[in-house]
Amino acid sequence: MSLLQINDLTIHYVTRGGTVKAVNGIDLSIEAGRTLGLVGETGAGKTTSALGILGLIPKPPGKIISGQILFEGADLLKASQGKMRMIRGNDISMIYQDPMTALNPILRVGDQISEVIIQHSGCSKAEAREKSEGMLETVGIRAERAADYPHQFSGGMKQRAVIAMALACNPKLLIADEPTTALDVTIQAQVLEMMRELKDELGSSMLLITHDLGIVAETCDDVAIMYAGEIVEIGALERIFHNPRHPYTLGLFGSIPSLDKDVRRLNPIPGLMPDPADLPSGCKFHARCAHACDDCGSGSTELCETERGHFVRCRRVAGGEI
Amino acid sequence: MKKIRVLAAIILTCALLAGLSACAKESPPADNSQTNSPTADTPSASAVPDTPAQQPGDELVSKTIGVTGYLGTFLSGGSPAESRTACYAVFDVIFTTDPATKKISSDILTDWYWEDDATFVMKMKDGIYFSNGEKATAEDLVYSYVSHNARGATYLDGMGIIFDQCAARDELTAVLKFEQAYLPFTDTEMYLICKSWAESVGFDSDEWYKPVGSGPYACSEYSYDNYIKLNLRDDYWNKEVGDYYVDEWTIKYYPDASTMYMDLENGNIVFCELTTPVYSTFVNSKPDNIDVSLRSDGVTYFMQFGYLDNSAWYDKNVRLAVAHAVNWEELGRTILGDTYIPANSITPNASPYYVDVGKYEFDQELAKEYLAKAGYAPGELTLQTLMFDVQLFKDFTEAVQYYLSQVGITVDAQFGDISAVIGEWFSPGGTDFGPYWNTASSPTMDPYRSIFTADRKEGGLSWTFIDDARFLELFAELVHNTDETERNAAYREIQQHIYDEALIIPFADSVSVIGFRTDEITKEQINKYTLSVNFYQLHKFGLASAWQ
Amino acid sequence: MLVYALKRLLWMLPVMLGVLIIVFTITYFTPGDPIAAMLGPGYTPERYAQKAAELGLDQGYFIRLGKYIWNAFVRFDLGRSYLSNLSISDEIAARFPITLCIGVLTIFVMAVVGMPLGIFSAIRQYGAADAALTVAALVMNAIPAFVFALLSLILFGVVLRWLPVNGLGSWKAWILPVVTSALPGIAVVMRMSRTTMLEVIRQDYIRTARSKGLKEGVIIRKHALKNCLIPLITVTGGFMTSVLAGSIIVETIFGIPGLGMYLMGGIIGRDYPVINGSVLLISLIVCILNLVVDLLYAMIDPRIKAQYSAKKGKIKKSGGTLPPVNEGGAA
Repeated sequence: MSLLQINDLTIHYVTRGGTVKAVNGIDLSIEAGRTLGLVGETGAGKTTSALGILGLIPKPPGKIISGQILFEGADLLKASQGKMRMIRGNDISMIYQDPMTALNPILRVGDQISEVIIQHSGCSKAEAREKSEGMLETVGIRAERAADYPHQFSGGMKQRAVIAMALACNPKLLIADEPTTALDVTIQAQVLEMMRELKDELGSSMLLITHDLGIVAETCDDVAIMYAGEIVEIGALERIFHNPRHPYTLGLFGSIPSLDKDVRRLNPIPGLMPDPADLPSGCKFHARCAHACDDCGSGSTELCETERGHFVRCRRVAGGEI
Repeated sequence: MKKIRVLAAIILTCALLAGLSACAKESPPADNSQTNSPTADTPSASAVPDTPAQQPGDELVSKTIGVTGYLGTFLSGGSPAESRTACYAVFDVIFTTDPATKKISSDILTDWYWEDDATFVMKMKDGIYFSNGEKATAEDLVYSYVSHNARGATYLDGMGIIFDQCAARDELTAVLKFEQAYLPFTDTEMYLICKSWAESVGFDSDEWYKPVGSGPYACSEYSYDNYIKLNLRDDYWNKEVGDYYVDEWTIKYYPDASTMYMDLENGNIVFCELTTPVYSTFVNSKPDNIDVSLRSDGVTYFMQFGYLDNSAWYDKNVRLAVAHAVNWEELGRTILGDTYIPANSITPNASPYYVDVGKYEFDQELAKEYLAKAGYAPGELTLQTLMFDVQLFKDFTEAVQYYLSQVGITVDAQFGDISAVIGEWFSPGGTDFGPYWNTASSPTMDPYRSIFTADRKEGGLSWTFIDDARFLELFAELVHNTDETERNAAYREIQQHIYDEALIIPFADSVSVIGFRTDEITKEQINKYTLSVNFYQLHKFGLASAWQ
Repeated sequence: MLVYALKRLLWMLPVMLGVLIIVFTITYFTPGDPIAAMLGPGYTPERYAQKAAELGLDQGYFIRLGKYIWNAFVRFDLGRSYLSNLSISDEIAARFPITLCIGVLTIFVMAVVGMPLGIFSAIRQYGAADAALTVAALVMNAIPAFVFALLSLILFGVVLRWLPVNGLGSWKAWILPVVTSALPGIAVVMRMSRTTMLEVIRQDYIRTARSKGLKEGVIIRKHALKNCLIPLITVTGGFMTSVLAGSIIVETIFGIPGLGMYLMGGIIGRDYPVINGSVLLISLIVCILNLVVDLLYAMIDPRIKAQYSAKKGKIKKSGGTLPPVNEGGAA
């Protein structure tokens, strides 16, 4: 049994201006101890999926239309608020994109870490403080800095503190939402390295949300490519990297400058992501797809296993045409 | 979070301290035996019993009255500075007015007379004691007058009293020296002040909030801008006057008069002064247990001609033209509303000195004739005036402006605020006419009261001076002649003379309007012990005989 | 912090001096003759001259200004009232605690009622309660305080007779003045806390707190509320100023013997020393309130505190309150 199994999750934002179809029937699973990279452009529905797992979709306007999120076999969508609170921060914790705003500016960093420990372990304040200082040491921040306020930390330190907070209760699943996007490139590598080590140490699974295929290559065991709220390709890292099949995935790889070749211009995917409030019929990517045929614009496209454990949502690939 | 709590605690403590200190200011330590008695919550709860309480130890009878405008202190300074009502209860007034005869009387003097035209003799009763136990002597009586300037009062200004020649002749006889005999000084409110006490505390002292006096009541609480509490003294010297019924008077101050009327309706106060609109409301709606007393307070409103400001007034025809051009009755009703009482003479109808001199018919053709006789074609005479921008002054000026424009006299009126205008009024020019009346009112209803400042060419308001030789002669008789027969003749003549010559035009009585609770007192009681809104005689009002 | 506070206190001196000079100059050049007003008709020229000399009104502008500054700043003596001839400092000292008491109570009621309502409104955004509270706030803000005062007097004082209409006789008498002066403030605080709370609960750190599994109540109290306080303190501190200014109306209507009523009497009677003294005191209070508000900011927000401390000078900083940033990871 997978640690986390998402089946047919559909999340919409219903506003007066129209329905934003952020997530449209995704299926995912994360095995214990493994790292899944969720890759996609901005607006593909990655963060919404992650928030959906934690039950933190703002309602209204968010609305979970259908699906199941099975965590250790139990459906989180049916869990009570109290049960969800026990899971959040304890079994599943999350690292957000922007460490600058993720910490409360008026509370001491140490207290913010202790808080989650007290909440879930029920230990005393002193114990929690000790433990949170330990966590800070673990992420490479001197224990006495626990008494500092977030504004006294640099961006990298803040993210370390956020990571310390997220790992404080030994979560089974760590969701990292673009954890390094806001950081300097030099610090990015350090932070990623540290995350990976800690995760291995604790034996946690990780859902790493990113748009950076480089990070995925370094960190992940499995990869899911998301486009317009759908998973378009999913599989083990090597398979996706060595044998990308979906035209969108191909496009993503194509847009990365190669060190081997001397190219003057990047090779981006033509066109723009469709407006999630007004998604095209048929394959969501067909308007930008070089391989699209007339049929692609209608009907629904299912995931299809092209090789063992490698699924692609493209009827032309499924049909063996490309 | 902790800091916030500490902070909240600090703020709360501050608030508490502030509150405590405020309360401490409000109720000083009870050093007076009277304050120990329980206070009835609402005065209305203690209705008038059939037999007034007389034995000590009976239920405390507490009455509350309302005042507005200024609460006042016990230090008789300028007009707004003292609470006459409270002074009447705490001090003995040297001269007061008998409500029945409207004659000057005194509770502390046995006799008073002009020895000659510059010497006034007062003989005191023996056995007057102050609340500090000291016996009152002629020294105190003299001091009450000569300390006038030192305590910042203005009552005796212009009366020609020579302070440094006033002295005690013997223990109970005081002698005041004047430049010439001056009668009106007997109806100024002078209180008997304890010389040794006043000299020991000085006139700047807070002790003046609980002064030593020889009156039947003593101040037990003075709360700034809030109330004055007066309690009956056990050891009041005057046993002849009778038993007292009211143990405690509270003079409650209302900065906003409308709340005072609410409290009158609620029964929280026994009586208070009313304004004209409220009088009308009460008369029309007749609320339960409230009645009103409307009386002349001894002086009249009149139109004053500024002789020094505009020489046109020296022509009698001009004055008569104005007198006939204005519909005085309509004007009075317009500016005074329901409390308008027409006046023909400078003394009100209710005065014992009143002479029916006749009135000026509203006849604008006649007015035009007079104007022509004076040599003015229509539109040729222009009057200017500078008045307070206060309702009554404004209404009057605009009404006159309207009537005069109909007979061809142009009025150029300007309005300004009180302190700015009053400065202008002291020098001639710019104020050709205006409404005038003596705001102090007159319990004796002597004719000189209405025209009190009419003989002051200097030092007074320039436009209130009446520049007429015969008038000034008669006025001198009124205020300086000590012979009563001659003076009474002058009283009659001056009223007639003013009418004949149209020196000024009286048009309405100045009135006192008092609203009171009929479940507490009757109109007779009110009329007997409240001569006007300026003279609540609390020293007598508390007597058992007043409440039977 | 302490140094900063002291510095600010020192700065108040020139500010107060400026206020004093402006107020004094305005009243000096205001037309009107206080002596004539004081003595009333019927005084002699000698008395006029005597009174003028007594009050020092026969001297020139600069001498009078100098004397006033000396007396006010060094001897804390604001002179004597033209009308009552009583010491203004004493009179104000007797009255101000009452005004302050009502002011503090007003602010207290404002915060205690306004904030929870605003937060409630924010949490239930677009709900029926939110709509009702929004309308109520609009009404409270739109109706002037004195209209409220008079209406509530008629209702509770005359019709129902639950509360006294005048004075400060019992604790009941405090209810109407405090509530009346707090109402517009409640509306402002309520709207402000609603807006701020809505803004704060959308912040990332609230989402972080949620993903820690904290209870909603804890999140609001511990994480959101404190972040809402700064704009609220600004509004509340600013409102204390208008409560003081509004005390003129409220105290006059309810017959409360405070500073407002004293100032009102001074204005009506053209009692310039009283006006000067009262205005001076009110501006002093406003200065102090501003300082208190600024210090409160620092107490709540460590970022602002850091700014204040930084102003102390560099020596303290390198002395070790801020340890050198440790960027090197343990990894």
